Amino acid sequence: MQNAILRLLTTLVTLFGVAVVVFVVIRLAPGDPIAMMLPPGASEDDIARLRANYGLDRSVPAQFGIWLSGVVQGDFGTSISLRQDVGSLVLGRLPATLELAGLALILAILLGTTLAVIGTLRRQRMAESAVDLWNGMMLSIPDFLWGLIFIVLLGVVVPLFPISGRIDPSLNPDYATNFLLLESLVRLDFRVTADLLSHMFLPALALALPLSAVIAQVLKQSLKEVMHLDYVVLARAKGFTEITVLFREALRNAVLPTLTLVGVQFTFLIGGTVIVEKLFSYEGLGNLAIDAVINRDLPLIQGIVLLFAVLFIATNLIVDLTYAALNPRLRHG
Amino acid sequence: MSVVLEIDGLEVRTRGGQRLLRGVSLSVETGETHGLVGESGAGKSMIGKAVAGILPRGVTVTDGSIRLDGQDLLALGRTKRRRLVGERVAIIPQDPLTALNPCRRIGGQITDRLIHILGWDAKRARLRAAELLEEVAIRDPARVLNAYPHEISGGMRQRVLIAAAFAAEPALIIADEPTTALDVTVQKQVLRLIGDLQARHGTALLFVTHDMGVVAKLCPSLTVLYAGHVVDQGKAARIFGPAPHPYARALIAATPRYDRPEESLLPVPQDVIDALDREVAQADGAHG
Ligand SMILES: Nc1ncnc2c1ncn2[C@@H]1O[C@H](COP(=O)(O)OP(=O)(O)O)[C@@H](O)[C@H]1O
Ligand SMILES: [Mg+2]
Repeated sequence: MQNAILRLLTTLVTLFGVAVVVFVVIRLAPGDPIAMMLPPGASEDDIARLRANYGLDRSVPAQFGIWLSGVVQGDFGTSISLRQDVGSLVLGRLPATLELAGLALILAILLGTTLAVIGTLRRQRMAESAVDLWNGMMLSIPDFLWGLIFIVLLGVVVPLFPISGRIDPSLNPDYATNFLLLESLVRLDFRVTADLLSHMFLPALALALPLSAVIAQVLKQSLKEVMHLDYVVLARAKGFTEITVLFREALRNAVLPTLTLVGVQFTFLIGGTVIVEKLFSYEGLGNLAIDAVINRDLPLIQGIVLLFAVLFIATNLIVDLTYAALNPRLRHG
Repeated sequence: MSVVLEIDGLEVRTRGGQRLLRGVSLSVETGETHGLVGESGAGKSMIGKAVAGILPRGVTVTDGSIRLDGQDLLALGRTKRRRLVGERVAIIPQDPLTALNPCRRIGGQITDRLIHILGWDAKRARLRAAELLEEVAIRDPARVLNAYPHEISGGMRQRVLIAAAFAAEPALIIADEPTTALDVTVQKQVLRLIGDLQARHGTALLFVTHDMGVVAKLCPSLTVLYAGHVVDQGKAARIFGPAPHPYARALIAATPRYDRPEESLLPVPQDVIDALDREVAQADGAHG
């Protein structure tokens, strides 16, 4: 309980710090949001009036005070470029990004674990070298480059997958939430599911490949150590096959030390959605973030960054909970 | 009496060519307890590992044979050998703290072999596990079966491992220094327990230890190992008698006494070591 309270407090302090830093930095950056909104011939008076309208004529601390008192009441301000409520804009885009990042994480875990298991089970040097080589390649190419490669290869040269958007507009599902993938699964609306997945596959894979290599490498190392432990050797002597021993005795124990790192890497993956979503014109938070920056849309940037910060903190929390769930020594009773 | 385990001329080498076992021969009869003694590093554990098929990476059997129930293990295919050993051999490991999986409940770690290797149904395996826990004097079997290893004491974990070894009614149990990691009072209990269970179940026992005191109590026959080389072998009565091999005598002298632990231990004398090294070198020369 005490832990939970402490954690909540540090979370609030972290978020406050992030808010302050971002607030100041984006106001120091060159470019005037108001000038970009108005047609080229606008008068000084018009500009001044609009600045006052958005409160941009006040000092930075005063602006921050106004913004913060709004946030406390759940009001994140109004987007300058889109003239909509920042809170609902950002929350409306969040599900698309969560689904993309979630799918990428699943792909990365499946791929990374498979590679680690193959590298561990096959005792031949060849298999291990092949896995290492593959990992090195995955790690040296960043997610957005993978995105470009996929767009060219699988979107243009051999057009297997759609390379733009989240869903075929003609489907236009009338859903209650913006968690389209999850809702289509719940509704057993598999035509929509399939279309969503085909749109998400390439961007998710681009995000997943570097993470899969990290998982493969760290997990393989961890497995290698665990496979020599007494209880694993003992299980082998009980007559179990190598693969059973690996999955039943070793994997869970090997996963534990890799979790924290995978959590950190997953926050990088969330960061990676910004460019990858833009590349694939995927209507998520990242895509919105780039437009917001281009338009110097200060309230929107502020809102998006804060939400990303919340996502990072949530990732850490989930890692800790998973760790406790997998490790009986941390459980009660 | 039939022979359960018969090792003949066993050679084990590292990939680099270092000889860890030099033509070891020994046999264990049904229901018999055979002691395997020698200083640390002599290769005692390697013998057990070679039998169980769990030699470390880079260490292999290069010559000799291991017969289990008359079947030559080294001539069997990998799958057949794994199954046969899984059915007929069990190990009581040295360190109870590392020999149980921290992420699995005790119950599953006792019953997994019964269910998946011997093909019992889960309910029967569970009953059997509870029965065995009672046999090793664990008062609350149901609770222990559901516990994780960290929730029970070290002595209790060793008794769990003993129960797990006997649960499958193996023909042979290899106990590799099963009491070394325990404190002295628990050691005695555990030794008595192993002896009792072994007598009751009629299991053959290969008892590995560096402690001559334990061998004297438990093993009617023994093999003395030095640097992978059998230096003496036979009935305990002879080896503990008036004229043992000088190395065996040195080991006996080096045995800590529970009643007088403060007494300083005598190291194996240098002239005995030198004589042994000459003996080993000679045997190696003869071997090629
Ligand atoms: N994985 C390994 N690779 C190579 N040599 C090993 C390995 N493990 C043990 N050895 C060597 O094998 C010899 C016998 O070891 P072991 O059977 O464990 O001795 P002990 O009689 O104490 O049980 C020792 O000299 C040890 O250094
Ligand atoms: Mg040993």
